[in-house]
Amino acid sequence: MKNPITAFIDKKMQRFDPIWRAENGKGGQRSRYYDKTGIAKYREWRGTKDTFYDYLAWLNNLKSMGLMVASAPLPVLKGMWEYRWMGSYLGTFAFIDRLFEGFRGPELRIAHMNMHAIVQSLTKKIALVLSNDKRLGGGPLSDRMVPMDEVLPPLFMCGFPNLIPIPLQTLPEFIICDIDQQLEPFYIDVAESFGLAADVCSRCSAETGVTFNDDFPIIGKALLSTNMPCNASEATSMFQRRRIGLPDFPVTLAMIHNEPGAHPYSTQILRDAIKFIEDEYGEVYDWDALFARARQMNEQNEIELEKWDIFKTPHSALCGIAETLYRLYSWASVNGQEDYFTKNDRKVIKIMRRCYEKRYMPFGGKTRHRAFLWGPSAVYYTDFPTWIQNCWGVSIVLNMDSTMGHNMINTEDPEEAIKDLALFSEKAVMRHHAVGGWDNVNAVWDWAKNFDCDMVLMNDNVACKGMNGVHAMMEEQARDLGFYFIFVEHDLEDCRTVSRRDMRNIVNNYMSVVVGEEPLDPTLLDFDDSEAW
Amino acid sequence: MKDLKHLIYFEDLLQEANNELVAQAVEEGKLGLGYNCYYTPEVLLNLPGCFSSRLRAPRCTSPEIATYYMTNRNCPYVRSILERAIEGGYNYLSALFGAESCAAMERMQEHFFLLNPVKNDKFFVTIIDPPMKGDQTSLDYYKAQLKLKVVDELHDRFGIDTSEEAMRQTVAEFNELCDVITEIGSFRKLENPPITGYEFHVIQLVSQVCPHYLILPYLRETLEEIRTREPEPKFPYRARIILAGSEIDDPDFTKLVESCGAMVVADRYCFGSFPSRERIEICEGETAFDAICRHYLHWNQCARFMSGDKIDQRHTELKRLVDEFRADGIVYESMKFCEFWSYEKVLASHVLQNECGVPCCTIEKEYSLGSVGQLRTRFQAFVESLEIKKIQAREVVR
Repeated sequence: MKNPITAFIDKKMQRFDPIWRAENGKGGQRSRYYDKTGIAKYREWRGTKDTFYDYLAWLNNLKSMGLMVASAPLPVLKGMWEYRWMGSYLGTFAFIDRLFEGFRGPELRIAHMNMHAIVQSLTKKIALVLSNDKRLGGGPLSDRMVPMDEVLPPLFMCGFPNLIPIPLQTLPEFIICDIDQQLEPFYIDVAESFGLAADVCSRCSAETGVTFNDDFPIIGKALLSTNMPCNASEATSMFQRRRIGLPDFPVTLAMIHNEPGAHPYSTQILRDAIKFIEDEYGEVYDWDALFARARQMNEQNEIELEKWDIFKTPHSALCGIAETLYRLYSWASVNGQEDYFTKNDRKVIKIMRRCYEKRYMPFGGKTRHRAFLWGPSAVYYTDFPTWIQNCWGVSIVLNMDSTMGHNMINTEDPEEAIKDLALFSEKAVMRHHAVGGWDNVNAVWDWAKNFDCDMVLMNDNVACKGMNGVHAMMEEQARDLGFYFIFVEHDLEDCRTVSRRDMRNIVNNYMSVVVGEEPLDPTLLDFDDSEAW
Repeated sequence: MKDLKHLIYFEDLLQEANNELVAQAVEEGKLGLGYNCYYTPEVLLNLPGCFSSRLRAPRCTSPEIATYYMTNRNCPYVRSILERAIEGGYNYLSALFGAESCAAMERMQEHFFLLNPVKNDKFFVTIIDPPMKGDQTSLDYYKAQLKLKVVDELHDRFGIDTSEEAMRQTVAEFNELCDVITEIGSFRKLENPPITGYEFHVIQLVSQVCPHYLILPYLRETLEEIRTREPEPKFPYRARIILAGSEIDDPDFTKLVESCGAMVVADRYCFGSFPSRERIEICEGETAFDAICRHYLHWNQCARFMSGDKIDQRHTELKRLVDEFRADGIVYESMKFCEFWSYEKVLASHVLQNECGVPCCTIEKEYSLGSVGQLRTRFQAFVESLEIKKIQAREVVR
């Protein structure tokens, strides 16, 4: 039963609601923005209750940012001065607003709960790293930190309770590229100015630029690099180990990871990595400490599997980017290390269950197509799932990277646990399905069918040699199996090669010409946001 | 210099993958076994009843169908190989022993079973997962992969003798071929060599694409000829360089470099002789198979190796070649769209120039020889810079 006062306010204010405006031909989501920019003239009106909730969530995130600065004022200030990427974090609020445009009711609540989990974790991590960054003077925990490659799942490191694994690239590159599309081109240019070819994957090129520009924090006594997920990522590690100058151990898990022979090898590699850390840090591996964190990860994965069951229905209140980004961060960066994420998952699944019981339809029931998002996504267009939902009514049901390692880890027997960890780690970000053989990529059709999708959006990173190599086979498979199939071209971190607008046009052309549909919000059809964060 | 007796014949053999000697071996009942990469030990594909055939796509200038399958943003080598397969150029193959050396290579090899382009009833494909380090764990994995996907497959599918005795015999024959090529190549160390870089490139290539037992007599004869061959009265080049980097299977590329005044005195690239023609030594108490795996992992110079020792090995090996072959500089090339060598090229040219004092010229190339004008200009400029360095060095000595 709606409160009569809020109902009255909602009625009076609905002309400011972009969804109402789009439905009534009086504008839409993009009308709020200054041309070319990501700067909105006013906040999105979502009805009294949701606007208030959205604003509170904004304040809550502001609180986390404030706490970060308050906990380490000098290191944060020095970090701003030292690192180009630090300034880009100021775009976080605009980033979050952009991600959740058009979200209402439970999907908005869950989205903000998930997002705040990321913000509170990330801000603490920034403060921790900068406070102990040797470039900025170091700190008491500097030598207890273990810098490791961002795509190497850090769960196995929880067996060193006195050490703090830090995904090295997360702060300067892995997360910030989602927030600010203008940042990474600078680092890409730095790498190319040293002679790196322009046709290599832009993520790894940017990482190389960060290395050359000395923009990685210096922490720890030894480095864990990895061969994950792909060729360019392996190659950029060469520069990082050299420039950072710490003893390193490449955790080279099996590439063709679906074969029986792969797992014993990957298991041994993890054992070797543990031995390396024991030697370099003088610590002894504590299996009980690992088991404690593995239980958290197991619970998160159990909840994740329950979420998937709800995703298979049209009644999931967890949608699009709220699902994708959270799973990516909670799996790849947190990986069972923070209780907050387990608690958040418990709350989220409760809301999801309630919504399912009520047969709730997200986005006002305007979803026309259910799509599986496959292949590594363009990080400079993190809000692409939001745009495609608002513009065309295409719901991204699940993302390839959300299917990362979801096997349970044994929490009693070290021998079994390390084997489980190897399997878990082999199926990491951009790796589970993008590398390791044709069957992994080709699995998309089963996933799409199981999740009741009629559409597959294939992220087509123009510089990804592995995915380029299956181009026509995927197209032929889509044709044979009767899926709507769109190659969404992008250049991962370089918005200059394929802009957000170009990406939208690819979808627009397919939806209007092949599918023959009209957009839900015409203001989102074609616009220029080249100057936005 | 007087022309080598078999040079034209060798050049003819390089015009087609299914050349005269390959066809002869197949007719004699031998199994043609294809491979693309040094990670697949050539020697294992020469067990009794088999012959190795390193895949090339000579004269492939327009891989249109392969481009449809793999896009035009992928390695031109792998596209050319796939194109040639679709054209029916590899129908003599009974198997392809692939390696996940890089993503593009793996995808190309996968198309060999997805599209079935090789029209041969026996044909099958296996792809090994090669390691990225040189330590014991990696060696164990390498052995397990080769055993499972090469040795056992040969034995189980074709009944090939993979016993210790057969392996030892194969290694001995392989070593003989290596000795001949190594001796021919060593003439390039001389101040005025009786062989050109181009001629050596042709010889090295025929040794990789032809059945060993059929090409070896020609190579022996060529070695004898070179032993007594009169070089030019005066060294005809302005500089000596090493060609290093990714895949080069077109001798015309070497010819292009040499036409700019730089003799290619050593070849450290995929399809080159460093590595590929080192003798396989079997230690006491070691099986031939273990020796083969150890040998190939040790000598492998692939840019995908990630561990510090193997990265350093790439550079120290090049420096060793520079010193032994008295090279003035290095031309470092990478195939267009090659991720690994694009990175390695940047690192190696920095290390070699700034830490080893070896001048480097880095270039990017297509599979088929294109952009000749631009490359020629780069090479000529590099040769000039090497000459200037020599003049300056002489002045410092004076």
